[in-house]
Amino acid sequence: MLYFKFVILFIMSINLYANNLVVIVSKNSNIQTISKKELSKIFLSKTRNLPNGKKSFLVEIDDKEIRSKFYSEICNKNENQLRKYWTKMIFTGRGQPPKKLKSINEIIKYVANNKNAISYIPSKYLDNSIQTIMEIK
Amino acid sequence: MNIITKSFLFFLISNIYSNAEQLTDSFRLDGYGNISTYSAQTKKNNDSLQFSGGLQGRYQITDRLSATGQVHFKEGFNSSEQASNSLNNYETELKWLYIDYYLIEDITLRVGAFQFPVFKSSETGDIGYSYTWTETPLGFYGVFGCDDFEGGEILKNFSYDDFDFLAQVSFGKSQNELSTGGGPALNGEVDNLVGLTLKTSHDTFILNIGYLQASTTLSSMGQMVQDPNVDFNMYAIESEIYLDDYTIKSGFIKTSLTNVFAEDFNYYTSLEYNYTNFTPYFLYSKETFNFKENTTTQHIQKTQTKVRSIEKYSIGFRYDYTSHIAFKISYQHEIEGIKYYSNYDEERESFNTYTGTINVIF
Repeated sequence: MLYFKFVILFIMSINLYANNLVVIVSKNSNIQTISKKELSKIFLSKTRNLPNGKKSFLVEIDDKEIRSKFYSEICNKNENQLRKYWTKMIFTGRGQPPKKLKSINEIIKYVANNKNAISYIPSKYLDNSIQTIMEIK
Repeated sequence: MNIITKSFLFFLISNIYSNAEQLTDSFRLDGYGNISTYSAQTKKNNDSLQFSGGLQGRYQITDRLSATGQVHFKEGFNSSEQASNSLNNYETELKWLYIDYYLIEDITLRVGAFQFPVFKSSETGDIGYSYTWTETPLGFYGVFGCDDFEGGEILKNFSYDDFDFLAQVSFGKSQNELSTGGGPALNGEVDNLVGLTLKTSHDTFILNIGYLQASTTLSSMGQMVQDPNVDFNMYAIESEIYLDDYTIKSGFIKTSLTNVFAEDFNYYTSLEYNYTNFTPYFLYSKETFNFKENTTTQHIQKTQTKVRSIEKYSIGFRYDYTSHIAFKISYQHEIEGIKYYSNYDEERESFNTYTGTINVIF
């Protein structure tokens, strides 16, 4: 029975690791780290600049599950709150949501080729063309 | 167009365009739609189905410069004050048209036509999806009939500790048909309009403080106007507090006109419970409007002060069917009263209203 419990816990831990998100920027970016607060402000369009003062270019995956995890962890907003938030921001002209891309590969390619781009992806998709500045567990 | 055809078209459009936001890298199109049905003892819109909606286009001209336009349309009423059900009877209005330029340090300058920014929901009152209730709690969306202006705005975002701030300064003029609620509509150009808004947000609350002042010279004088030069001021303080799954929203707004003596007090509070996609709520609001009225009886002119009040108790819920469509149902008990200070007479009547709405954004 104890062995069985360990197996279950091991499987769960693998799954959790697979669901971890990482915040990514280009290899050419000089940003090494970012705080949760800074990230929240950038992705809620409360500032348009990265911590290094450069204009940010935001992209995110068009995947409800990944997006929900990111915004609930970083911005304390669920999907419905987020939608209402963006409705107000868009129709009052105070901000625009990140550009949505269809696949993780598109995100990685966009971030790798733009040194002021920032995004988030599941950690299992990390490759050498991009660098991690925060891990979201 | 009958109700079934309208409903079918509404759903068709809302689904077709549900993901048509970012059309190109530089152009973004957004839209919203509302379908509302009212029933029971309302003074108008009895058992009718009414449509309204809008489209907004935003074009990013350069890295710092963009242009935005928003058009709102709504179904008109026929002579029986029912929704007209005719495509020929839609009213359209250009709600926003402006260019904005990003200066430095999260400061943005905007020039053009805008909605009043002073109140928390005044800019998005036509967009049902943006709030929980079937309708905004007060008639504050355009106090005295003034709800938009042409001019400029400066916006500044900044942070202190865990608090985010948005400071907004608005200035310009407005050409509106002013109404003081008790008298006839008056045509007047509102000049010297200055608005200040400060919005503070934190993980656990939002606080909105607004002030607006303006002056007008009334070109069409009603009975109650002695001096055509009128100043008006609006103060607003509104808040949202998040307590686990509960949200408490409250607001207090005061508007006053000089020379004609008219004061409007608005208060509302609501309690919402956020249970996944289902949000039941209770909402209470009260508007008290004090004004002087001149009447002539047997060639004798006399002035009397009236107080008109509207109290509303609403319960209802919002159901977020998808992240683009929300259904809402509410029951509202409304008490209207008019009190005359001269003889202490009071007239009161009450209404019950059942409302159902579907709100979409795309």
